[in-house]
Amino acid sequence: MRRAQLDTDGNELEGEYESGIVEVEGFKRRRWYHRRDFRFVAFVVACIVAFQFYGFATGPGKVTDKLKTAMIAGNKMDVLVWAKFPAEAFHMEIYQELGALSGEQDGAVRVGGVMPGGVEFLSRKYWIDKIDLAPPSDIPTVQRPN
Amino acid sequence: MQKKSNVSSLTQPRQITAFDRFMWQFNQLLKIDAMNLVILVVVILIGWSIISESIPNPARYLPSPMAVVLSSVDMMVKGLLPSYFSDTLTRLVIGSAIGLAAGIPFGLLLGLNRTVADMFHPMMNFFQSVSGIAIFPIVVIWYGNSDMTVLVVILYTSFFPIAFNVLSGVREIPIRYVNAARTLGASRYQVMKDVLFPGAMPHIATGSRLSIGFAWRAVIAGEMLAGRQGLGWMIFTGQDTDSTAEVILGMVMIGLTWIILDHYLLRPIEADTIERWGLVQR
Amino acid sequence: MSTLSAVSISIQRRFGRQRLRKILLGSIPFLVMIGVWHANTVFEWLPPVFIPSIGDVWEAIFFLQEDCAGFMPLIMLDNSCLMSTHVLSSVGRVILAAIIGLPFGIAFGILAGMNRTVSKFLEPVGVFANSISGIAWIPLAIVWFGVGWVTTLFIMLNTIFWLMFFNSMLGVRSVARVYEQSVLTMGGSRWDVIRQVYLPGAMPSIITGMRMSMGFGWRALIAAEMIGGDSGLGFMIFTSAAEFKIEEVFLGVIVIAIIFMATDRYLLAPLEKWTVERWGLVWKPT
Repeated sequence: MRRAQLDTDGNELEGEYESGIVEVEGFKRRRWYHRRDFRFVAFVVACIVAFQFYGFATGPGKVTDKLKTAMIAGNKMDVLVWAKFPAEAFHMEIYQELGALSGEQDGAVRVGGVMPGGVEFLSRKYWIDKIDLAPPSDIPTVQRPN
Repeated sequence: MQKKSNVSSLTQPRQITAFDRFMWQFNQLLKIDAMNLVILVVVILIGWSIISESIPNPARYLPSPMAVVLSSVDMMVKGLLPSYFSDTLTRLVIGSAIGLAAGIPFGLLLGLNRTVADMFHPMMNFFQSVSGIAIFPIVVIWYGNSDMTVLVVILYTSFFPIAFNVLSGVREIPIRYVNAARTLGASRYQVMKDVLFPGAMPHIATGSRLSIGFAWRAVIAGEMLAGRQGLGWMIFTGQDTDSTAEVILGMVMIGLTWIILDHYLLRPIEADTIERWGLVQR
Repeated sequence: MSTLSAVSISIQRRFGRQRLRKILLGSIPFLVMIGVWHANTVFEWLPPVFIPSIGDVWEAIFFLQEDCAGFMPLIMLDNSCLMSTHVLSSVGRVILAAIIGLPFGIAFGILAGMNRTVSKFLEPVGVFANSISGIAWIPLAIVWFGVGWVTTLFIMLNTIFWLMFFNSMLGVRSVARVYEQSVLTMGGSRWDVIRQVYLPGAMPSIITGMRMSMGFGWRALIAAEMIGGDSGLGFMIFTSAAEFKIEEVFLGVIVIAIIFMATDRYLLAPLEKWTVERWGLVWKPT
């Protein structure tokens, strides 16, 4: 598994690769940021940050203007959520945590009583296409007790 | 003409370019193990596909590698895989961080005094050998099927191995080192800082890796048994709902995650610590 | 007074002064723990639903063995003797897995240690199989073999085999080449090399691997019995927990711990020590 390290002349560096310490004089010394474990952690953190950033960046574009104006009021509202595929148990559970599921409408899932924070949380999920304000329905939706 | 150019190329070494270095590294890679690994993986995949083609009902017993890849793409698109994966890793990180943060000082404190160390050594050994999975039913009765149950099991599995290892490490430090430090007028705190802690350092490193390994197993088992979302839960429900492709996908992910974690994080730290502090032992 | 001191002296002679001190000191935390446990029952800090009384745990043994009719059903693993049936089936599986798994693991390990080509291809598989902990195999094993003893045996075998394989491989590799070459020079066959060089040279590593694989295997077995078994101690504590019989769960956990510790301490640890003393010189830790 160990791979030899090269110095600037293409020679093999002596010393323990894992330790990040090279005792040969005159060669480039391995610094702490050359260490495999540090680089691994940095890579993982960068991945997580990138993933989160992607969610934050694309999130607002998925919320329609109608819903955005409704969100400013800060009240609970009914929303329609379009995903890229029919919702499964996993997605239902997420919807259930944010509001009350009340059936499908125009190929979207209708979630009732969602707070603006919930809409923002939902918009950051990459598998969601569009979130819109639901038209008031004639079927009385079940209000979840607070 | 021919000869002259040869001589000049000998007397004036060619400038080594980045491309040369890249090729050199590439050749090394081929020479050592990457090629073998690729051949091995290909052979295994071909054998696996042949077996899964030849058995009846492969979707249930052994889905082909293609089916596993497709199911992973499907779960990626639907957002299940990243969610499960991050849930499991978060549990592992939180559980083992708390376990290590509590276990290392605990082991050191017990090791401060020889009598206390002798006193608690058998008890720590006892708890270390009762596996976390065995106490799982008790924890379920206490906390029900909640995140707390999984966390307690992980804490238990990571705390006792590390505490036991640190305690053993402190006990194995030759008493003459402590005596020498005390003769030279070191205080109790200085003895701990300059003798006991560095002396136990290799054991702390080995114990940490061991207990994180145990914690990883405990996370998987805990998710299976307590029914919390994560990789363990994924393979468990995959078996329930007859989607064996998901089970195999989960197993491969569990294996790869541990290999990567071990190779890129735990092993370098352990090797480095032992190299740096290991001499104190002799 | 004189008899007391005579008894004390004879006990000290019997165990040795330092060992006696360690035994006495080591028993203090256990006694304190039992005391706190009993105090909990007396003062009811935590209700008995969460922590059973010591008496209840003791009586659970007899409750589980209540219907047992004599010696024959006990060894025939009859369902009427719950406790002994579960203990014996767990222990039986461990022994069966050890009988099958250990020789195979050692054989493949020695083969991989001797032959570079074999080890090149088997080692990555071993690394991968070791990192898929035994527990992660349980769902797939249930799909393949159904719920029952085959599944639990498979999990245990899987854990034992790969650990054993790895340890024997590393053990063989640590043997200096000179020994092998000298045996070959003196006209020994390949079989002689295996028997006279590799096996003794790798022995300390093999025995350490045996101890390790028994520890890991026992843990994996308990988990496998919980999820995919229909008998054994893991199954017993899991079903008892589902019925909220906490005294049976405590009993099961204590029995699991005692069986493991007794095997480790009185069988495997002395074996390891003896092997290292007997063949340890050949072995050089890398």
